Order: sequence, then C-alpha cells, then structure tokens
Amino acid sequence: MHSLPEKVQNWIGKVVITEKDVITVEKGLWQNYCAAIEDGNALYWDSEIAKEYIDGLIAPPGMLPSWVASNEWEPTQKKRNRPMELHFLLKEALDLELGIVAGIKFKYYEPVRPGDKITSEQKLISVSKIMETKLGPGRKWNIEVIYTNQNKDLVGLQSVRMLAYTKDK
Amino acid sequence: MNIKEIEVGYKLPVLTSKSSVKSIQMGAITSRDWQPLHRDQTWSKEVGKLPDIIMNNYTYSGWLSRYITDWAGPSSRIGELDFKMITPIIPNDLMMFQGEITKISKYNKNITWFFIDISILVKDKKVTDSSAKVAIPHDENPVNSPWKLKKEDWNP
Repeated sequence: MHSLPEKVQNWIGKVVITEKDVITVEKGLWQNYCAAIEDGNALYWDSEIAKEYIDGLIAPPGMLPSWVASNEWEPTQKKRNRPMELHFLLKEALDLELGIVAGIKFKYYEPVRPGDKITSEQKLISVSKIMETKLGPGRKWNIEVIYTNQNKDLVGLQSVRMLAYTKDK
Repeated sequence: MNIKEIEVGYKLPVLTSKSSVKSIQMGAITSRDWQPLHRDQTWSKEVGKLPDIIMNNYTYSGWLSRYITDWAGPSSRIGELDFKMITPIIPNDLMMFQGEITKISKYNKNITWFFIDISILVKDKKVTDSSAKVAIPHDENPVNSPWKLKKEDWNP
C-alpha cells in the first residue's frame, strides 16, 4: 500500500463522491427497464395488487444505481459525473486505463417509490497493492455505495469489486 | 407452491431467454447506462476489443431479481443479491438461469429466509455466478407480506 499516491490514501474509508438531486423516480422510467428484462412483477406494474402487499407501486431493485445516473443531456449543461465516478478517479490517479467489474453485492432496505429522490455516497473501502492479473499489471479496489431517499432512510448498500489494469506496463 | 415444503437442495424452475442487440441496448439505456460498450457494436469491437456489445451490470441485477420473483411471487422481498460476471453476455446468447436453495432460516412466524445460488449458463458454460437472500411469506395473505414490515424490523 506504500506506493499509493497520498491523494488515494486519503480517500480510503471516506465518502469521496456524493450524487444528489439527479432525477425523480418515475414509474414510466422503471417500466421501460422492466420491458427490457420482461419482468411482469405486479409490484412494478399493478397499483391495485401493489397496494395489497405494500402501500403502492415500487421500483425494481435492480434499478437502484440508475436513480443517481444523470441525464445524457440537460439544458443547464451542468457538469455530470460518470457512473461510479470514484472508480474513474481511481483509474486516473493510479494510471490504470482499463477496468472491469469483478463483482457486485446489493443489500436492499426501504423500497424506492414514485417521487423519491435518491442520494448516493461513494466510499472507498480498500485498494490492493499492484499485482499481476491475467489482463496485465493492475490493482483491485472495493467501493461501497450508500443509497438514501429524501427522508434520509437507507434504501440500499452496494459493494462493488473492481479490477483495473494496464496493458502497457 | 407450498413454501413450507421447500427444502435445501430444491431446484428453481429453469428460465431461458435469448439475448439480442435490442434487448442488451434496451437494458443499458433504460437503466440509464450510456457507456458505448453496451449499445455501440462498432465501438465495442474496434475500440473495446470485445466480441460485441455486452450486457451491463444493472441489467444483470434485473434479470437475476426477475428470476427470483418469477418463482417466489410479488409478495417475496429480496434482501441481498451478489453476483460475479465471469464471461460477458452478448447478443444471441441463449441464457439459462438455474437456481438452488442452499439454506433456509426463520425470519419470523410468518416469513422464511431462503438463500439461493443462481447460475447463468450459455452453451453449458457458467457465465455468471450469483447468490441471493429472499424473504418469502408462508402464504399469499398480504397481511404477512415482508413488505409490510416496519423499516426497523427489516434487516437483510
């Protein structure tokens, strides 16, 4: 770990990126996603059935990270973060141009409902030493993302295991 | 399905679905993932050095969740989902989902935790390894739905 740049060392254990007020959760957005995976779960489609099991329609859990993904274009042209921005910052800081997702773990808490505004906090958990991988020299890192709604309720936790590498060194 | 009769080793019904350019692009775009390797075949092959566009991870989690709730019904509530992508899924892959119950534990008198190992296979090769933890009520009475639990009582 001694070879990590000081900037990266200082990120470990801390929230580095926060995404807030990105979009409002809407059923039209999640039903398009359900159409892509042909998911007919009544909790995402049928408000009468959803009211029996819960208090109304909810969004599919698989879309949780999508609620903090910016529109591809906006009239204000404000600066947009990339999806999992912290991963890109690490690649740049550690001069590793290529990266893949090695694994993902979700824990789901409060369901996401129409009208919700989701906030995410990307926290760096760990960064490995430089290692030889099948793809070239690289490092593994683990990022935790904490998702909350506008009421500060915990909505989900995501643990992302990434591998970044270079083919040149 | 009588949930009380399900034991460790129970195999979930197999789900098969053939991916396509359209389905992979739809999954990426509707999950708000604009990266070119999920929607641009020319970029994926020439710049990404990939065999084709590849399914994005939000679409994986959607398919895995769907596989679970297709079997367990809308009253079931997923607490945890873990997955590892071994080989990317590309257009025209015939995905075969297989699941097996590996552990069962009591949540409360009306709800049971089921731990499931799930594999996605393409041409008999495992391309995704996954595990999930899902709360399933003992009957379809909505009163017993795990979705009705107070937030302080839901601990996935």
